[in-house]
Amino acid sequence: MKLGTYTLEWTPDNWTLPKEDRQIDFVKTYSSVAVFSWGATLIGKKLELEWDWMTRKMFEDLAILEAADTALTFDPEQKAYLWHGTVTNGPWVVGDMVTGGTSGHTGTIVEVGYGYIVVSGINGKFERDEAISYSSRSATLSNVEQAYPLTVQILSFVGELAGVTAFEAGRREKVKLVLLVMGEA
Amino acid sequence: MAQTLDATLAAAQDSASRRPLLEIMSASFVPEIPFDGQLLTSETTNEQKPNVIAHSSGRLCTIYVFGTRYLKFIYTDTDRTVFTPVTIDAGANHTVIDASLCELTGGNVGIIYLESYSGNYNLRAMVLSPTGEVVSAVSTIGTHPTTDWANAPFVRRLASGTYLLVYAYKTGSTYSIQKKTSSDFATWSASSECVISGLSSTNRRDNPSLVQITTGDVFLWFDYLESTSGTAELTNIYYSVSTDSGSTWGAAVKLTNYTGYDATAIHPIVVQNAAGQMRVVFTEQRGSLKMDDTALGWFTGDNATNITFDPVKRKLYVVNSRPFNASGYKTLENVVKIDVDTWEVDKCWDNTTVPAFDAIFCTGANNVNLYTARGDRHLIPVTLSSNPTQFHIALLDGEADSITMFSFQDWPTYGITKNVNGLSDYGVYGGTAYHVWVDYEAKRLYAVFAFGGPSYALIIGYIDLGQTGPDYNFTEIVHEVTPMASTMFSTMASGSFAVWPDTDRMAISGWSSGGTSKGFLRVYQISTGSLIKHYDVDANVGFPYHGVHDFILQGEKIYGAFGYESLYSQQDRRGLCEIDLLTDTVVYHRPSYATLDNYYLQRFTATEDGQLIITVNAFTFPASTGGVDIYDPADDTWQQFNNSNVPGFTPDGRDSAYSIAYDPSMGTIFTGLTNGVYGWTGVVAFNRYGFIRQSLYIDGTYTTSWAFGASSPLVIGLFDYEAVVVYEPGGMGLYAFWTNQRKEELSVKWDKVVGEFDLDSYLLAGSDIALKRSIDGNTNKLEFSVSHGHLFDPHNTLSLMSFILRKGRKLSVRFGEKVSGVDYWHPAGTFVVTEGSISYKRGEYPKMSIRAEDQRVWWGDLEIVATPHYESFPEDILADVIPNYAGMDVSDIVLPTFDGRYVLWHQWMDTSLKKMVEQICERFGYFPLIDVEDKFRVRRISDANATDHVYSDTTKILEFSPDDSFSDFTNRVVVVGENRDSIEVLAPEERIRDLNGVVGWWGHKKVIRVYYSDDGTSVCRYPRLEITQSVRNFNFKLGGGGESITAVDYYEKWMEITIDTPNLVAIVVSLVAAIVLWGVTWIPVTAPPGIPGIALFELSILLSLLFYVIASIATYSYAVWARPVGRERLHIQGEANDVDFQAELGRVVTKKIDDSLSITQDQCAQVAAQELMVARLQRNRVRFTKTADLRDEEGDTLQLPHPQAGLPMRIFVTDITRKFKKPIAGTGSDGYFLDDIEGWVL
Repeated sequence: MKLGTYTLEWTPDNWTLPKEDRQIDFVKTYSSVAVFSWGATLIGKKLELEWDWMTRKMFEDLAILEAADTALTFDPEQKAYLWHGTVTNGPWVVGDMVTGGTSGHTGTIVEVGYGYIVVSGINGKFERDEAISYSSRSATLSNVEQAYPLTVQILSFVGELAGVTAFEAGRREKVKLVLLVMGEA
Repeated sequence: MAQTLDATLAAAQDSASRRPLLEIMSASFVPEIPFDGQLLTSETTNEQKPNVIAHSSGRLCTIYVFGTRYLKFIYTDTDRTVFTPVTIDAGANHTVIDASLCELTGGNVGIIYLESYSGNYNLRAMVLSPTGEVVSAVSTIGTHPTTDWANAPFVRRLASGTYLLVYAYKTGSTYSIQKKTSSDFATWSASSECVISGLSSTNRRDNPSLVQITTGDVFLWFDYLESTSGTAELTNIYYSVSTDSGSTWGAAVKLTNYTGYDATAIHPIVVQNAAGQMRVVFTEQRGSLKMDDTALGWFTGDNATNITFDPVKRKLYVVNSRPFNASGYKTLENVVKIDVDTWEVDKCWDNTTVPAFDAIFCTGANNVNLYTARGDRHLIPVTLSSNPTQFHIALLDGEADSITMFSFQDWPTYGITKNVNGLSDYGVYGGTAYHVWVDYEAKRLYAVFAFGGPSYALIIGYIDLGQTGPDYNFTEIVHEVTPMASTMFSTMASGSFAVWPDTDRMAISGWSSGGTSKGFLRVYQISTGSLIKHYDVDANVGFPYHGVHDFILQGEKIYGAFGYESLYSQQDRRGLCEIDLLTDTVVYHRPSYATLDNYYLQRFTATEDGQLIITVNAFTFPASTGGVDIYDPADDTWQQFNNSNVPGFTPDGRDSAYSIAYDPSMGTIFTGLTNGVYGWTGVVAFNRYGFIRQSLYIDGTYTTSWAFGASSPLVIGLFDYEAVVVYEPGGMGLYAFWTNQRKEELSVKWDKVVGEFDLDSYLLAGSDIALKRSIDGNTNKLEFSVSHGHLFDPHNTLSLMSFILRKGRKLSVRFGEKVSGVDYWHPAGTFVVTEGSISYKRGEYPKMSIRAEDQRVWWGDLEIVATPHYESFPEDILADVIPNYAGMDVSDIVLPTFDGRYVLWHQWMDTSLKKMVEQICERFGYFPLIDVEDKFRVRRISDANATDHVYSDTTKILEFSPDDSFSDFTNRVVVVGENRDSIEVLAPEERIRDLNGVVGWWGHKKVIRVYYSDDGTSVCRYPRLEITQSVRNFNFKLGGGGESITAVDYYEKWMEITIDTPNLVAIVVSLVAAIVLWGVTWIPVTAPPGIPGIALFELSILLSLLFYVIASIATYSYAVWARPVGRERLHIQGEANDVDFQAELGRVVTKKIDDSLSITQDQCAQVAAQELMVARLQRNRVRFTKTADLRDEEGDTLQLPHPQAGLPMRIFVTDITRKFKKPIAGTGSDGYFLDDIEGWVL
């Protein structure tokens, strides 16, 4: 996981899945209900990244990014979970480099599950309902769960200073980094 | 249903599940090119010679010369929203001449600049990051001694990666364009010439620039000096093409084809945004601008006798008059209004236009006297004076587009009726209206009248322009009889007049071109009319013998123009006359540019720094000594402008100027040339600080070869030049930067072609976007808020978006619906930004609130002075007046045939377009609207309209509430109209006038004519004289006496009172004769003590009688009573009654309305019924909220069930507010798309 040019020493213990929020609301009328929907978006979503603790250096490196007060690229993980239907000429094999038929993006399979594959080394966002293929194998994606690089701004970054009895002097505990999604990177 | 939607979009309105869309686009109401531009900074230090590149990161990077030793590097963020400046110091005593820049491999920015320092021209290079950090410090890459000449370095990175630098150079008498190359921007080759055939090496080539087009060809552009004439130069734009990355160059190709010295082309810059296309930007340089009656919109006749500059509206008014027509009289040709920023005719008026000058000014045997007819701002006077005594002034208001006639006499021959009263009457004794002068601030029109013998009267006064007319009063300030001698009268014709309100002074002069006539100058106090100074050669030997014909006040000195006279000890007086009002000393200033006797100085104006601008005009005057002079009293210096130093000053080389005006904000001088017998006539504009320069562009296309079209202005301003342009990275948006000259200050301006700017990314979620429309005649209103308020802030000059939501921008709105992934749209109207507010508060995000209204926002200010007298149907009147005044296209006026229409006989005066439109619509029961497609329409206000939209259930209704708070108890409406006939009305007797005075032994009989009003127009009947004090109270009742009304005007405008007193003149004469006889009888023959007592007694009696008689005077005091007579339109009325409501209330509540458009009783009754219906419906007013339906609009009749009873209700929609709110994702904030409706249950 990278934030700007900084690669985090380890990933957060808890973090908000960068999944789009729906913009939807409803009003009750006298005898019915009206629903207004504007689709879904990640823009404006707050991503909370929490660590039980982190090293002083890691905290300071992140604090430098916070102090820079500029937009950053947040690359959560270059992996995607791709759910698919029947695999023609299957099954998938780890190491296959699949290509999205619509998006044109590619990724290398690192794990083959039941009805899904995990790909890494991806260069863009796969799309639901698109076909993926490698060599003679192909399938249609029924769902995509993919964290992709985002442009973010750090909203807040807080932590508590551990006591002197801690095994590492100066380490930070209960660290929380809040990112605001500005758009896709 | 008022709005017809796309079928899919219409179906979506009925769905319970909506995907609403909104779009707001910002654009300009006028084409974006030519650019008007905004200043890049507010610096007062000179900024000039910008260069710009589009950086691959998306930034714009600009560099320009700042002051003497500095450069400014200005870059934007990658989204091009904000400028950030970085200052580069070339060092003490270094003078930066010009600079250029290019993007280096790797993204840094290379800068090349030329400086002069310590006897050398130095070419210097440095490298910055795109955000201005120094990557490589400055280094010198080339040097030439300043005995040579170098200019205008320009650098580009070629596709090969080579950096190619070119610059203009001269050594000895050999000109060339030199080049240097580099592969790393650090090490540069030695300079070598770009060898271009087809040019003379002794002719200058300058301002080279480069562009490598998509074919790989490198174009070298430059301006080339083709020839010279005196100091004037003819330059054109040329180019040469290299197909080998600058190693060799093709023959020069000429682009522009300027052939004279009055306009030339310099400083080419070229950009390419697509293969086969090229845009060449260059500067057109002129010494002056000229215009005559060959210009579009200027009628025949261009003897520019008087010119006036309006500095607020930036318009020049030119009054053109024929010097002599076929009958030997001067007449008005026309008056022209010129936009000085575009140098185009706005409008021209004569006796054929609307409005028109009366024909007496333009045709026939009438003198149009234009001795001094000085306008102010947009009030332009033209005077006419003719024998027998006829004084008339036409005052053009160039902004209101009206001409007001002030007539001091009736002129039945031409159907003219006197409408100015208050000027003393001297009969027909050679009266002349010599001069007029407008004071815009005080709203006064001053006029000077002179009457010949035997009276020789001089009258100076004014008409208060605040008077509404149709009759006006003239207030006399100066009324002198005895000081006017025949010689003064004769010289006034060639003299002048001036008013200086700031000093409470005015002056008049008389002048003669020769002979024995002596001229004069008289200075008066405006407020009292008292004479402050009088000058003539008898009173002050220093004063010019023949007087001054034009003059100006500066401080406490009057400067005057006069003609040379070799006699009367005047032989040493030449040039300019200076009269010190404090010491009365007179001195003369002789122009330094020529040794002449007569310099023919003409008219004056002054600069903001106290220098005098003087026209020099003589028809046979030697060339090159006429034109326009600037005289500086501070150091007694003269500066001359004419064809010898202003290239193309006049088209035919005529150095002669007459009328004069000055633009102090730009330093532009305007002068008019008259009398075509001696050459070209028209108006000329030139700048005291140098050339008039404007950036133009030419588009080129490639088919089999490059073909270039005609040039067009890139910028609006005439002092906006040396523009550089660049296309935005990956887009078609064009950015331009240029030098703007405002007098001696140079600034960099910029602008861009935005097209339509989509505000979607900036509209605030969680915040209402509301669009309100109603039938009440008010404008449609749009309100919303945007993020990035600091970028939209019009005062943030560092923001590239500061103009997007500036007041006056156009906002186009659309609503829509996403259906099955497809966006369906429907227009919601165009609006004008009227308000923008933003609050900066630390810790709070700067949001900006915007308010906009439809184009009717201007209608309230569109003043209608007078429409034609219409005899038309209402819809025809609207279709005529709206395009005329609001500028709407005829095709945008969509009107039905009005119900109950009839031909309106009406003329609207002193009203606004808004009021006029509303009056017509209301009369016939309609309301006006600008619909969603920006068309003007009207809709019927009626309880009988067909139902537009049926809501069969309450599934769309959120809220419902009766609201009769705006209603009253009106159950009868009475409408009073006016018949087209009028009747005479006799008012009760009233006191009209009071008269007081004195009569005496000399009196005998005195007749006093009493007008019933000051302006002599009031009509009264049955005058009666009330005598408070009679002349019968003579101190001794010698011979009786009395007073009575002895005559009454046939037209009932005046009556005469005759005061009859004893004629004691004969008695006085007799007594004097008796005393003389007594003296003859007694004094010569007697000596003391010899006068007998009886003789003394006789003398005593005679003297007593004489004293008694000559002491006999009487005062009188009368009051004149009479009954005023007037005429009134016959009033007619009609009414309508709500009988049921009257019965319910048990009383009648009446509302009375005046309606001048109703001319019959039936029409009054129709209006009354309409108004009663509205009053009744107001009591049935309701408010409700429903989900938005794009089919509904104001004026619709909707049907929906009562939320409780379920019974259908028909509702006429009076107000509809469409609210759109997008929720903030993930926060739980609300979102909706609703219609708040107010209406009447029918």
